[in-house]
Amino acid sequence: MTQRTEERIKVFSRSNATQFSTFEFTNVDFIVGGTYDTTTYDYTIENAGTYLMGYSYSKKNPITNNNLRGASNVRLTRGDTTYTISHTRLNERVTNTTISNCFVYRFEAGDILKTVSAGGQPKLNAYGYGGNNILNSWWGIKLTY
Amino acid sequence: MPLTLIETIQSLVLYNRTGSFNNTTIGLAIELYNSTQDPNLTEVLATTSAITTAVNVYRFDFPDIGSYTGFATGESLSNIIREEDATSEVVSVAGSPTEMQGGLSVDTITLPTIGDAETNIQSNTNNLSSIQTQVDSLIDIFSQGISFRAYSLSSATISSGQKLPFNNESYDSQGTYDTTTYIYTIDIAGTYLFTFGWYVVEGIIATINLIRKRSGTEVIIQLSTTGSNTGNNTSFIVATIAECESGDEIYANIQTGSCRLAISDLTEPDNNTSFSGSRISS
Repeated sequence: MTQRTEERIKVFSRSNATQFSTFEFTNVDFIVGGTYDTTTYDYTIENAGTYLMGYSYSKKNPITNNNLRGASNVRLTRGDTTYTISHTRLNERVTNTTISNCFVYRFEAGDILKTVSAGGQPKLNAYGYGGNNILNSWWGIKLTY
Repeated sequence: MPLTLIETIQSLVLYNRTGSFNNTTIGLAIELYNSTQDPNLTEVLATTSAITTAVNVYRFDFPDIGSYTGFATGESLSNIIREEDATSEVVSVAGSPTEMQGGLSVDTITLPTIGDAETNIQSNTNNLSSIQTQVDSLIDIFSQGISFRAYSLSSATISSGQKLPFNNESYDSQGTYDTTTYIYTIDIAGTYLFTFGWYVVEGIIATINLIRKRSGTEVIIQLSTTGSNTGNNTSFIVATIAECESGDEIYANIQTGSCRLAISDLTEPDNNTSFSGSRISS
């Protein structure tokens, strides 16, 4: 029997800034195993295994008669290759709606993950805020032994 | 030699004949006995090595030499000669029980290497560490069975300021979900996955918070909101993980607007939404 290798992360932002490229989750709630860079917003997997990952965000107000969507991708860099492993999109003409994503994926040690805008004008929160609350976040946890 | 304890003797200095006869000491050794308790001189209490070199002064140091400070430079009839001016050796003293009275107070005790015993102790320590690792693993495995799921059969509109009324249980391993208060109380600390779902009420902007209440203080650990222009009965499914401590209370609370938990009234075993949690790791 071997002891489980723990790895988990939860990062968030209190900003309501519109995200045009990488989602800027600047704050760390917790991280065990793995590394998270609060300047590049890269999460590097330390322990190979199957992970449950999720995140949520909001979207900017649509301009009248213009349907501004809010889309996002989870981008995985493995070795020299970077590709999308999950895509989330809301095409309705709605304002400040929470958009959530959740998936399972098998990662390898050294994999680098980031969440990025995939069109429209996603933002991390409907409104900026202070205090200890976490309204939206990017999180993941290793499930397997 | 005056009657005294071996342990209190500081040194015995032997001044040899000088000149061509000083080699008469070669082969000489000194032994000390307790002539009172051992009149037949059968038990040697201390002994020097046999002298092998002819020199003018021999100094034989006893256990208490460390307390002496008045060493003489050169020969002396009153003081112990310094080490540089004599041939010195430490006398072998037979072991004797150490009697200790009162308490012993020390800052640090450095134990000597004790061979096999030390190896065995280290081996047992490693075994205990291995057992601890396995116990930790078992705790993790069995703690993963901690989970609950609650749901509602009602499509009634739920107004702001209320906890989402998931008033039926599918399962609750720890028996800590309350179907009347809609609060799940953490039994064993760890990292938990929580999910819940809800539906939009036509034309109503709703904000639902997943709350972790610890020591009386509420903190939002995930928000879910419609914003504007979201169609009736649009579903929102929420998932997040959170590090929890024993005694934390978890519940979903509608902060503004209104929502519902089913798009129409249901009968068992149908469900539309649920509130669930599962302990994933430590």
